[in-house]
Order: sequence, then C-alpha cells, then structure tokens
Amino acid sequence: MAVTAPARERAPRGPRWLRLFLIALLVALLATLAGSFFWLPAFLRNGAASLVRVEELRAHAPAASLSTTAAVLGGADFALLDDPDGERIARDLELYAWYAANPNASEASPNSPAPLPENTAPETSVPETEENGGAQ
Amino acid sequence: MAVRNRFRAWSCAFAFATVLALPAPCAENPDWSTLDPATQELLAPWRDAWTTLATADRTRLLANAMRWQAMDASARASFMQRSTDWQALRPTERARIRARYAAWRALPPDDQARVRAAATQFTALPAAQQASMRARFAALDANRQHDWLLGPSTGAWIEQARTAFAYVPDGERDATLRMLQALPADARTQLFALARRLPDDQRERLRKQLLGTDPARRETLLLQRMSQ
Repeated sequence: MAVTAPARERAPRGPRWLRLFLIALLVALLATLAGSFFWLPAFLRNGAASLVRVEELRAHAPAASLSTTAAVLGGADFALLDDPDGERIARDLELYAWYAANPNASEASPNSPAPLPENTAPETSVPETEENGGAQ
Repeated sequence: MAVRNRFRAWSCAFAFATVLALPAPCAENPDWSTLDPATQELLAPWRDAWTTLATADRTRLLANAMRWQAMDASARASFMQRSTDWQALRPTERARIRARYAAWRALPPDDQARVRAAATQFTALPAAQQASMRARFAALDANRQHDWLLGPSTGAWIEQARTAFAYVPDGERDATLRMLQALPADARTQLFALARRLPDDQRERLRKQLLGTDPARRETLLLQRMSQ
C-alpha cells in the first residue's frame, strides 16, 4: 500500500488585494522620499514664517486713553517729581551721606576702614590652661 | 439672671469685635460717589475700575489728585516740565534715581537733616574741590559706596557690622539691621567687639538671642553677656 507524502505546508497568505495595496503604498512612500531630495513645499522651504499671517500696522497709533494730567497723576513717580529737592539729593545720596559722615574727607584716606578693637582674636584661640582657668 | 447677663456681655463683645473688623468708612478709601466733582473729573479715567482698585492705589491716586489741586498754575507747569525731563531719562537712570529716592525717604529724620546739610555744603564747594571729592568717593569699593545709601549714621558702622556678623540668613538681615540701628552707639560698638571675639556658633546664638529679646532689654542682655 503506497503511502502518499504529506502536502507541503504553505504559509497562510492574506488576500491578494491587500498585498497589492501594501506594495503600492511602499512604492508611493519611496517615490515621496526620493522626491523630497528635489522638491519641498513652500511652507517647509520658508520655515514657520510662511505660516504666520502678517498685516501692516495701522498708519496712526490709537489715541492715548489717558490725558497728560491723568498720566502724571497715575504715574508711580508722582511723589518723586513733586519733591525736586529730595530728588536732587537722592541722585547723589550715597555721596552726600559719605560726605556728611566724613566732613574732613579730603584729609583722610577714602578707603580707611573703621578702626578695629585691639582684641579681635576669637575666644577659642585662647588655650584654656590652669594658669588662666579659661576665664574670659 | 446670671445667664442672661453673661449672654448680654458676650453679645456686646461680639458686636464690638464685629464693628472693629468692619472696614471703616475712612477718607482714605471712599466710594466714587463721595468724591467731590473736581476730584472725580481728575480721576475720571479710573471711574469704571474704581471699586476694583487696591486700597493702596486708591489712596495714592486720591493723594496725588489732592496735591495737584493744591498747586497753582505755575507749580503745575513746573511739575509737567519735570515730568517731561524725567521721561527723557534712560529707564536705567530712572530706576537708579527711584531706588535712591526710596532710600532717601526711608532715612530717619536726623539722617535726612544731616544729608541735606551735607548736600548744601557740598554744592557750595568750588567745582574743582567737588570733583576731587567725587573722585575720592568713586575710589571706594562699590559695596562700600552702596553702604552709604543707608545714611550717614548706619553707613559709618555697617562695615564693622559686616565684619562682626559675616553670615546672616537672607530672611533675618533686615531685622538684624534694625536691631543694630536701634542699639545705642556704645552698646553697638561693644557688641561688635564681643562678636568678633566669639566663635561662629556662639556669635550666631548671641545674634538670635538679641533678635528675640525685647528691644528695651537688649542692652541689658548685652551687658550681661559682656560680663560673663
């Protein structure tokens, strides 16, 4: 009795139209990729600027909503402008304050620091011995 | 009867607390309708937003409007001229002057009087001497120059304070400065001398102890610490 050989197993294949569609899609993508080396759409050539709508400014600025007086009244510098003497002093405040504290500054060195007291060593630098007993 | 009296007492206390908590209808925070017509006209641009303005802004606008109304025509013209000159300055220069003006306003009256007298004396100097003094001041370290914005009194010892208390946390610098300013000059000098002799941890403890002490008792505390 002859034994028939088993049929060769074949991988299951999808429908024919799907294979054709995928092949066509692959070809189209490859063609697009190749084409991108030779041609770019305008919005990619010019960057994002080509996507921004540009309009010219109006020829005249809109009328100011505040009058000059109102702008002055609402300004943060009203007190300063109302005190010209204080403002004049404030411009050189540090100079005048230094001069007030050093009326004879022309005779002294400008960088002379305030004198330090003689004993400026930290307490811990004094060794606590039997002689001084650590009394400070 | 006792319960009724207690109820009355609590009711009175509650009513009193409620009255205290309510915003008082003071002149600094008035309704728009209570402003006089001249002030309303000056502040007309803010009429619609008046109720939404912060109290500080309303107070400032009202004070400015009242000051403006008190000026005569020549004073107003002079003010407008100063305003024009001010706007012509560079923004950085305006910011510099604003900061110094705020520092000037923050000075105690004694320091203001000293600075005012010094300014008068300085501007009376011959131009060459003024230039020489300016050059001497410009030769100071930038930080040292900036110190003098605290005024002639504080500026004279702030360098010693910086040496004595080199590392003060950001949040405690103003309080430490105020504490030092409030101390009598002798006590402050003694504190600087003591602080320089102390190790870091004890110095910091002393500073915090002084900050936490009632201002009237700080000198006593310092004397006690000196005697230890």
